[in-house]
Amino acid sequence: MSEKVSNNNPFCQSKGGKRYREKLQKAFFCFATYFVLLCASVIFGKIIYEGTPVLWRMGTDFLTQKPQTLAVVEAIESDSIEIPTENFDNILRSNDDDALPIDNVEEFEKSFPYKRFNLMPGSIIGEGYLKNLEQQNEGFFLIYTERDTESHVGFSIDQEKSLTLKSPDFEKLKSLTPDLIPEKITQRHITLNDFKLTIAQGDYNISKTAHDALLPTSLVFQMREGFADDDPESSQKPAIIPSTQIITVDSNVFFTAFDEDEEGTLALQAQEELPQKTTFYDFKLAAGNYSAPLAALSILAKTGIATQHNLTRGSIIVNLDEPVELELSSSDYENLVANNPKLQLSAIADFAKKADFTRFSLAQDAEIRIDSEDLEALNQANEKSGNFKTNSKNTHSYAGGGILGPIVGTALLVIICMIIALFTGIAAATFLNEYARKGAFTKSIRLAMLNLAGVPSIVFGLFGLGLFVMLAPSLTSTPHTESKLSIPLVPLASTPQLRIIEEKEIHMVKHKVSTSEAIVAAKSESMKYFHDGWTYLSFQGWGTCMLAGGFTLAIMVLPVIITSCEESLRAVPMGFREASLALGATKWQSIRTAVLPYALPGILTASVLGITRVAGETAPIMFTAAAAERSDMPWEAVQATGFSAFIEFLQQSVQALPYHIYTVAGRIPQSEYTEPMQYGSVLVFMLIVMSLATVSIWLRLHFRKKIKW
Amino acid sequence: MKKKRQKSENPFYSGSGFRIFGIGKQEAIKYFFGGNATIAVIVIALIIGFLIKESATFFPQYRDSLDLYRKSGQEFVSFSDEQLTAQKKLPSLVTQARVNEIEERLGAIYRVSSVHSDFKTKVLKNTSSERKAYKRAKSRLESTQANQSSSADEKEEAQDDYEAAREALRITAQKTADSLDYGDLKTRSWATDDKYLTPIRNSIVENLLTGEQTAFLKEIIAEETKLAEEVNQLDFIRNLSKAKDGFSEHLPTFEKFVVGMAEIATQNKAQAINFVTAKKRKDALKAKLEITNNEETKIRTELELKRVLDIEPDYAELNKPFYGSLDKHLELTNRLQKQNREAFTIVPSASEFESKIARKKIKEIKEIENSIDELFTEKRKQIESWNHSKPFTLSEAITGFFFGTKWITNSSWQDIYGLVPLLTGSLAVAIIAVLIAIPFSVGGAIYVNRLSTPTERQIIKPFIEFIEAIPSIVLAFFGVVVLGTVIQEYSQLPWFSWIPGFPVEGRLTILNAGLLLALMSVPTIFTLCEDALNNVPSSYRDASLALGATKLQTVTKVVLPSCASGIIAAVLLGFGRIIGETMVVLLVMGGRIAIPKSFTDPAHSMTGILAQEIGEVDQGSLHWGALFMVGFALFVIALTLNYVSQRVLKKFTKHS
Amino acid sequence: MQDTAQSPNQQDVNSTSNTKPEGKSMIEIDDLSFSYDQGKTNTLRNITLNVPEKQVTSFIGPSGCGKSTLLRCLNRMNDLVETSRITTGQIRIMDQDINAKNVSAIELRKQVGMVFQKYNPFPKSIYDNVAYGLRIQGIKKKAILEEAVEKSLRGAALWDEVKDRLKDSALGLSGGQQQRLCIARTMAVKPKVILMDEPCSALDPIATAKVEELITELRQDFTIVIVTHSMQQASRISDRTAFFYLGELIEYDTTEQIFTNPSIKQTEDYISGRFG
Repeated sequence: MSEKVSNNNPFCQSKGGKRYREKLQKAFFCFATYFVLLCASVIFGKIIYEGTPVLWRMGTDFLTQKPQTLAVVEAIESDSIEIPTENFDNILRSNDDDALPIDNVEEFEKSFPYKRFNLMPGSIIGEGYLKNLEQQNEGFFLIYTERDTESHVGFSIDQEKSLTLKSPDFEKLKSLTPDLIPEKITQRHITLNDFKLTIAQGDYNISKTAHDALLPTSLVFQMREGFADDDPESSQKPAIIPSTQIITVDSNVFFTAFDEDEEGTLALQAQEELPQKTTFYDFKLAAGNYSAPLAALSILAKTGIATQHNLTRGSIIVNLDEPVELELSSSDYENLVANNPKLQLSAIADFAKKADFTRFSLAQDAEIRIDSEDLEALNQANEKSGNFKTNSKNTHSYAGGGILGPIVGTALLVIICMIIALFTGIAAATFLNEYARKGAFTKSIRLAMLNLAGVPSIVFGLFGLGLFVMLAPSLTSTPHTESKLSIPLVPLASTPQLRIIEEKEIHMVKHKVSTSEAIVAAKSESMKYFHDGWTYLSFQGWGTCMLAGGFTLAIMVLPVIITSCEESLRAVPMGFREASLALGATKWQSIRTAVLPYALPGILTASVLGITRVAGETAPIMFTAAAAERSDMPWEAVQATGFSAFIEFLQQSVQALPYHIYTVAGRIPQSEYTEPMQYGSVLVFMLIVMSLATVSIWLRLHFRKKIKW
Repeated sequence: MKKKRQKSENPFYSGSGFRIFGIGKQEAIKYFFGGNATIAVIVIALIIGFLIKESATFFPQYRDSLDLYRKSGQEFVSFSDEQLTAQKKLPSLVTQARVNEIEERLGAIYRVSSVHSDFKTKVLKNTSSERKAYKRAKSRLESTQANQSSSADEKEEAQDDYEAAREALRITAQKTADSLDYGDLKTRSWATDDKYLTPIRNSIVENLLTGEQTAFLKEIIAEETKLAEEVNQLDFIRNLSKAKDGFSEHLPTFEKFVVGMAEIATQNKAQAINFVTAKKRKDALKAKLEITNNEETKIRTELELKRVLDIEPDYAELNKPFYGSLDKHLELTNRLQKQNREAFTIVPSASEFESKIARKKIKEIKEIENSIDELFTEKRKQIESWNHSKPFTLSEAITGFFFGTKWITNSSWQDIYGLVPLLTGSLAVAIIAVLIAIPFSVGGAIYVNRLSTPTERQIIKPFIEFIEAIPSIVLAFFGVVVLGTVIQEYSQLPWFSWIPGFPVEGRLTILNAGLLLALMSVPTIFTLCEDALNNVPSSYRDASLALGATKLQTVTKVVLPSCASGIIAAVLLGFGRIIGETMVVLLVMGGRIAIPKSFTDPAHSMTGILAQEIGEVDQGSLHWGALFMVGFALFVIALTLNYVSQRVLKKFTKHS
Repeated sequence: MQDTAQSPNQQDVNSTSNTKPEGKSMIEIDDLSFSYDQGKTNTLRNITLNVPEKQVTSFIGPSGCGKSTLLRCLNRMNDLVETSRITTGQIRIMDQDINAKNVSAIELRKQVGMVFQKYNPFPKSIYDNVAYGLRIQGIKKKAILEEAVEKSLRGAALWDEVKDRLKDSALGLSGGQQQRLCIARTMAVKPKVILMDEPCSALDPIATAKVEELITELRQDFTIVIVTHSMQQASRISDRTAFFYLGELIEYDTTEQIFTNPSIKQTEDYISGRFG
C-alpha cells in the first residue's frame, strides 16, 4: 500500500528501513534522557518511601531533639516505675505505640525538697562544691580571681575510719591540727634496708619492670630501644651503662631492679646495706563533720578520705559584687554547708520543686527502646526504690532522638558562609564588571576563578584545615604554645582571670622574657597557652570551628557567586549607567542606585544557588568544622560576655547534617535500629537541599520571564 | 568660604571631600572592591603555597624513613615476606575453589542449614517473652512434679500452665516463622529451592519447643554431608586436596623463618629510631634546662639529659643475622619451589569445575603458576644483592611515592606511601562513570535540544538541574544501603554472566561507585553539551535540512561533528568533577587499598584517603606530608583537566 | 563671564565659514582631536566650533563621522571608555576647560545633561525617575522634589499625560513619552546645556513630532546640542547646524545658510542626498 503511494507521490516519506532506523535512533535518545530521570526518581522514591514512616512516627520531635544513643533494654517485670512525664512520652514515641507492654499508667506530681539561698560575696568555697552549684543553677558561672589555701576546709566521714600514717606525715598533721588527732594512737617501728650499689660500665638487657623502678633513681643508663606502653612486663631491651656508678636505692627499688632471679639484671660490683628505721602511727576517726587546714586534708586524702576540695590549689574566694540567689537540692545543700566552713549564706528558704511524673508497670521480659537521656532519667528516678531492673542492654549509637544539632549546625555554617561569600562575591563582581579595566590584572583574576571552580572540594578542605584551622591569625593575650608565629603588638593586655588561667592551662610569665623562652617555659610545664601581659597577633589557627568551616565553604562557593553576580550585573543595560552618570551621579552613586538594585534578583538567585551547593557539601567541613558528636547547642556552651562571647560562639565545632549522615551511614556499627534513623536524616536533608534547589530554579525562571528591559 | 568662592569661579570644581594618602572616596571604593576580587588570586596562590609547603618536607623525611627501613634490615625481610605472601595465597585459593565447587554441586541443599539458623535467630528474637514464660512454666512443672509434698491440684495447675505457655509459644513461633521468606535475609545472593521453605519453618517451631535438633535438619545435614563427601571423592577434587597439601607442606617452616627475621629487624628498627630521635630529645631537654629556675627540676633534667643515648648503633653488627641467613633461605625456598612444581601438576583444569567462582580461582592459580618461580628468583636476587649501608636517594623516595604500588600506614613494620593504588582507584571509578554517563548525557542533550517537544524540554531541563543538586552524601548513602545489595544480587543472574567480573562478590565496589558518579556527572555533561549544541549556528542546520536531510541526519552528520570539541570539553570537565568527588568514593568504593584488578573489586581513591586519614594524623608527621602530597597530586590533576577542557572549549567557541 | 569667542587658534581650522556665531558662546571647542585607542588613530580631528547660548545646534553627517563622539566629549561621557583620550585642543564650557585637572566630571555632568538615542528610563516609577538626579545630589525634602518633578514634567510637556499616574512604572509609557520623560529627568537637575544623541531615532513620526516640538520650546531655557540623522529634523528645529565628515568639521553655519546655500561642495552633496 505504502509503496504504491510512494511511487506516485515524490514527497512521501522515505523507505521503511531508513524510517525504522531513524525511529530507533530517536527512541534511543529518548530512552537515554528518560532513563536518567527514572534513576533519579528511583533514588528519591526509595528515600521518601523509607524515610516518611520514620518522620511520621517521630513527628516534629525528630527535628527538635538532638541525636542520642538508643538503648534496647530487656526489663524484668516491675511495678510502679517512676519517670518524669516528659521522658515517659519520649519512651512511648521511641517504641511503636502498641508494642510496649505497659500497664497501670498513672500521672502524678512529685515534689523534691530544695533550698534557696543567697551566696554572699567573700565566701570561700571548694572547687567541687562550686561545680555542683553551677550545674544546678542555670546561668550561674562564677569567674573567680582569687584562691585561698590558708583558711580551714571541711570534710565529712560517713562511718568510723582507721588511718595509718608514716611518721613525717603524722608529725605534720599533728602540728597542723592537734585537735583532730584522737588520744588513742598506736605506734609501730619497722626497720627497712637501703642499698648502696656499684654498677659496672657495659651493655646490658633491662626488663621493663627494672627500667620503671630505676627511672626515679640517679642511675645514668641509656636505652638503645625505648619501651612502648603496651610492652609486656617481661620484655627486655638493650641498654648501655656509659660509666661505672655508685647509687643508693631503697629496698623496694633494689628488690625490683636487682633481683638476681631474673635474667638480664645489671651486674653489681659491690653492694652495701644501709638500715633505715621508720615509724607508723595508727588511729581512728569517728564519723562526723570536721574542719581542718587544707594541708592537713591533703595528708588525710592519701588515706582515702573523699573530698570535693581541690587539695593543691585551695578554695575559691567568691568575688561577686552582690549576693546571688541560688538553689540546691536539700541533700546537696547539707553537704555544702557542712564542708565549707567559710561559706556565707543568707536568706535561706525551703521550697519544693514539683515535676510531673508518670508511674507505670512493665510486663515481664518486655523489650523497650529508650534514648540514653530517658534511660538515665529512668534509672535516676528509680535508684532508691529499685523498681526498674533490667536484664540485658544493647546500645546503638545515633539510633535515638532527632537531628536538631545537625540541622542547627548546617544552618549556622550556611549563614556564616553566605555572609562572607556574598560580601566578597558581590564586591568582586562589581569590581570586575564596573571598575576593572581589561588587562593582566583582571585576566589573572578570571583565570584564578576559573581554576578555583575546578578544585576538588576535598582540597578546599585540606586548605581550610591548613589555613583556618591551624594557621589563621588571631588577636589574643594568651597565645597558644603551638602557634606558628606569635608577634607581640601592644603591652597592655588585661590579665586573664584565675578561673580562665586554670581552665585553659595558661602559663603566667612572671618576669618578662622573650616570646620563644616563654613558649619553652610554658611547654616544659605542659601548659597550652602563655600570658606575659602583651597582646599578641598569634598565628595559631581558629581550631575546628564553624568560623573556619564557614570560611572554607565561602571560598569554595566564591567562583559560583562571583560568576553569577557578574552575569546579573552584566544584564543591567548600559543605558542605566549612562543615564545616571549623565545626571551627575558619581560612579559609586550610579552603581548603588542604578545598577545594583536591578541586579538584585540575579544576586538573590545566585545566593540561593550558593546555599544549595554549600548545604550539601561534606568534604570541606569534615575537618574544618564538623563534630561527630556534641550534646549541647552551640549557644549553650558560651560563657564569656560581650564581644568575646560572639567570638567564642563562632569558635565552636558544630554537628552538620551531611556529616551526621556520613557518620551514621559509614562510621558506626549498623543495626536494624540505626537504619530508620539514617533514612529519616537523609530524607530531611534531601528535602532541605532539594527545596532550596527548587527555589533557585524557580527564581531563575521567574526573573527571566519578568525582566524585560 | 574659600570653597564657595572657588566654586563660583569654576562651575565644575571637583568638590570631592576628604582624601587619605591621595586616595579619594571613589578610589577607595574601587580599591576595596578590587581587593575583594583579588581574593580569588590570593586563594589560588595560598592553596598552591600550602600544598607545597606541607608536602615539601615529605620527600626528605620519607627518604630518611626508608633509609632506616634499609639500615635496620626490614627491607631484607620484606623480600622474603613477599615470597611468603605469594606462597600463602595458593592453599587459600585451592580451599576456596573446593568450597565453591561443593556449594555449586550441592545446590539448594547447601543453603538449607544456614537459612535454618538465620530464620531461627529471627524467630528467637520475636518470641523472647513467650520462650521465657515457657521456660518458667516448664521449670515450675518439673519442680512440682519432683516435689513429693505438692498436691494434685498444684500439679494439675502447673501442667495446665505449662501447656498454655507451650501453646502460646508454638502459635507465636509458627506465626513468625510463616511470615519469613528468603527475601527477609539480608544477603540474598543465591537462590534456594522453594520446596525447603515450609519444612524449614516447621522444623524451627519444632526445634523451639523441644530444644532438640529436628529430624528434618538432621536429615538435611546428613544428606548434605553425604553429598559433600561424594563431591570430595571426585577425582579432580581429590587431586585438588592433594595439591593443597603440597602447597602448604613446607609453608610453616618458611613462615617461621620469615617471622624470626622480622622480629630481629623490628628490634633493629627500634634501636635505630631511638638513636635518630635522640638529638631532638636532647635539644628539648637542654632548652628546658636553660630556663628552669627550680633546683629539683634542674637536677632531674640533667639526669634525663645524661640518659639520652648518644652512641650510634652498629648497623653492621645488627644486620649480621640477615647476611648469615642467606643459605637457610635458599634451602627453604628451593624446597618450597620443588614442592610447588609437583603440586601444580596435579591441580585439575578449570573446565572440570561447575562453579564459576571456582573456575575463577583455578584460573588464578594457573596465573600464579606462571609467575611464582619468576617472583622467587627475582626476590632471591634482590636478597643476595641487598646491602644495608647503601643509602637511599631522594629520587628513589620520589619515584617510590609516585610509582609505589603500596600504601601502608600506621604499620608497626614500615609505613609505605605509594600513589599508584589510589590513583588507579580514582581513575578507574572516574573512567567507568564517564563511560556510563556519556551516552546518557550526550544522548539526552541531543534529545532535549533537537528532538523533544518544548513541553518536554521545560520539564526535563529543571529536572536535570535538580539532579545536579543532589548532595553527594545522599547518593553515597543510597549506594551503601541499596545499590550495593541490588548489584550483588542481580549480578548472579545467569544472563549477566558474560560481563567480565560478574558475579560481583562484594557490595561496595568500583562499579557501585561508578554508577552513582555517572548519575552525578550526567547533569554537568548534559548542560555543557546542550550549550555546545545551542552554539552551533542554525545556518548549518538549515543548510542540511534544505538539502533534504532528516532531523536526525542533520544532528548526527552536521551538528554533532561541528560541536564535537564542545562535547569533548564537557566530558573532560565531567571527568574532572568526578575525580574530585569525595563522599561517594569514600563510602561506596569499599576502601581496600590495592590496585584493582577488575571493576567489580573494591578500591580506594585519592579523595577518599584524604577524607579518611587526614583527621587522625599529627600535623607535620610523615603521614601528614604524604596526604598533602596526595592532595597536591589531586590538585594538579584537577587543574590540568580543567585547563585542557577550557582550552578545548575556547577553541570550539572560536570556530563556531 | 565674558565673551571669549576670540580664540587665537581659530585661523588654522579648515574652511569652516562661520565658527563665530552671534550671541554669547556656551561651548567653545578649540582644535579638538580625539582618539578612542590611546592616540593611535584620531576619531575627531582638529575641530573648532562655538555653540551659542540658548540656541539649538545640530550636528549632522553620515554614520561614523564622529558627531556622537564629539557630543559625548562635551560632558566627558567618553571617560567611560578606558582607552579614549583627547590628543589636542580643548573644550571650554562656560569659559572653563572641562578637561582641566580640578574639574570634576560629576559636576560637569550636572551642568551638561544628556539624552540618549535609546530612551532609557529606570525601571522605577515616573516620579522616581525624574527625582533621581536630585536625589543623588542629596536633596531629600519632599516638597522640593515634588515641585521640581512637576516643573520638569510640565517643561517636558508630559505633565498632563502622566500627572495621575506618577507612581506607575515608567516602563508602561509609550516610546515618545519615555523619551520625553528622559528629557524631563535631565531637566530636573537644571543643567545649562542639554546634549541629545539622536533622540528621535527610536520613535515613530507622531512621537518624533512631539519631541521636536518640545525641543523648540526648550531653547528658551537651555542650550541644546542635538545629533541627528534626519536633515529635515535639523532644518526644522535647529538654529545652527554643523556638518561633519570622517571626523572633521566640514561646515558650520546657521541652519538656513547650510541648507540653502552651503559654501562647501561636500555639504551640498550630503544635503542633496548624493551620498551618506
